[in-house]
Amino acid sequence: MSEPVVMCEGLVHVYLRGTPFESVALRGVDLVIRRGECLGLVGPTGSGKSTLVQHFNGLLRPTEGRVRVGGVEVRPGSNLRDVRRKVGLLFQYPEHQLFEATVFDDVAFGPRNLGLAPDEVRARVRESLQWVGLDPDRFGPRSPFSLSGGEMRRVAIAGVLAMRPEVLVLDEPTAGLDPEGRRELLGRVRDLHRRAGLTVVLISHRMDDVARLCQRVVVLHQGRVFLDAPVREAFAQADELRSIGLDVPRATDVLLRLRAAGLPVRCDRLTVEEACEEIARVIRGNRSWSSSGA
Amino acid sequence: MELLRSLTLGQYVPRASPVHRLDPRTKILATTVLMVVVFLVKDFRGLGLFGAFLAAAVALSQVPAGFVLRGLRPIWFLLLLTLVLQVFFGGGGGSTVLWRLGPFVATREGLVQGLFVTARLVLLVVSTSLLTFTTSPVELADGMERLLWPFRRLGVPAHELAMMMTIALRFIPTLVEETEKIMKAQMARGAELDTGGPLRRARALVPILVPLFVSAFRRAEELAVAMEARGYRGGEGRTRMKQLRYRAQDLWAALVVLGTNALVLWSGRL
Repeated sequence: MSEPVVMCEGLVHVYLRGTPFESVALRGVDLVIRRGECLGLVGPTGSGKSTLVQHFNGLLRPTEGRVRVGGVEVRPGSNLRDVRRKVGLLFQYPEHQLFEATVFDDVAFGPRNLGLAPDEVRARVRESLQWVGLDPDRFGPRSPFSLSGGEMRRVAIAGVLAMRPEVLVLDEPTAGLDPEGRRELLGRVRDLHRRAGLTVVLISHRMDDVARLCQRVVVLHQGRVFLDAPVREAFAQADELRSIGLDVPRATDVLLRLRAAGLPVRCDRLTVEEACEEIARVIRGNRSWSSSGA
Repeated sequence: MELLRSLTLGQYVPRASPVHRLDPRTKILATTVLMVVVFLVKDFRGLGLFGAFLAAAVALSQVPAGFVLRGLRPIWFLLLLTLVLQVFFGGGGGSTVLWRLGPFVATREGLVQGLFVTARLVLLVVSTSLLTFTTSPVELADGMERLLWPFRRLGVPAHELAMMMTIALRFIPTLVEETEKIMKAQMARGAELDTGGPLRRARALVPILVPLFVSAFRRAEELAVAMEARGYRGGEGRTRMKQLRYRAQDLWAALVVLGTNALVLWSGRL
């Protein structure tokens, strides 16, 4: 097992403590994220996902409990610059944070804040734009506000990647994108994880995306870890997930229904391709069912 | 980073108190009466009576006293300045010298006058904030609209004013949230918002203000379309889901307010 990059122990977060608007977002979360893994963070709306990931780069500080990022404890007074450099956080609808006159300058915002030399900044901007599939020469000089929604989002992601984080946290990165844009974006994330060795935390309501990308799933519910398991084990617990308003990937859902209808398929298949193979395997090995059932 | 959340703008404190249940028009008019009376009162006895009445109203409203006092925080400097200025210059050529500071003379009359003016300011702020503590922004706008309604023949755009106020109030929390989100996003990209000299800090605002303006305009456009799509065409012939209605409690509240304030004014004439 590789070393832990993010560790939470008994993490509690209370917003506006001591006012009439006090609300408890996290009630004791224990979580370890290891280098190089791709983690899916799911949970119903208001379960504390966004609050949790904001602790990973020191934007929020624990009310109680401890958070360590790459060996540095996140608390008032600790060196949060290093923490922010280690963990890149991409908020929902990140295209709303674009502000510069050109795409190049916007992506360069982070590296310039790090105080890098102009050559290094240029190199990082080009590299980051290429990572997200935008041609630096063609898009660099354009205004970010003249781009399409999907392109703007990719510019925003490049802006975070230009910080060269070790951990990339993506909060609902595909919300509002069309199917093509979603496939494209998830492909890019998968490349970053596999080729660049980035540790990825993906927050998503789309279980299909989580199943396709992640090796491990953490389910948050009412500010606590409800389930923390490898992706196949996690989605095998369909009833538990449904009891808190979540779902399983569509392919798994089809297999579960087939099984309920009497076809002896295994249900720990997560993608459409895997499900097809599984159904084909069972039908081929079970002629009697296919002749009587079809 | 919770700085923005703790901002108490439109500082409504939801409670189920008798004060909260009053018609907003009653509360607006009562507050107007209080504001006039607090300036008419001429002596400490009147101010004391007024203060006692206000304290009773705060207690009845179930708004924590600490919350009410916290509302004074933004103006403490103004209060202090008023007090100091009055101590030195407010004596009106009074004779009882307390102490001298170079050419400035602090008089006993000045001190008394200073305490009086400061107390008056505190009571003024507390009485107006009691209105915003106990009346939700929407109720407040509704109440204003109904009160201004008779003046629309004189060209007062009552409905438009109320609608603008409602929308502005409605979007304060949204914009605060948006600001917080953008600040966090830029901080995640290494922006440092609270270091450096004034020029650097001012420049650090650009990455926050530009996206904020862009999104405010986008929201405004979306809101306009959404309102038109639901047939909004101004106040003419518009009905409301929540009708404002005077009830017995409003009559009683009005009588109590008028009675106590008459007493406050009368006590000054003894």
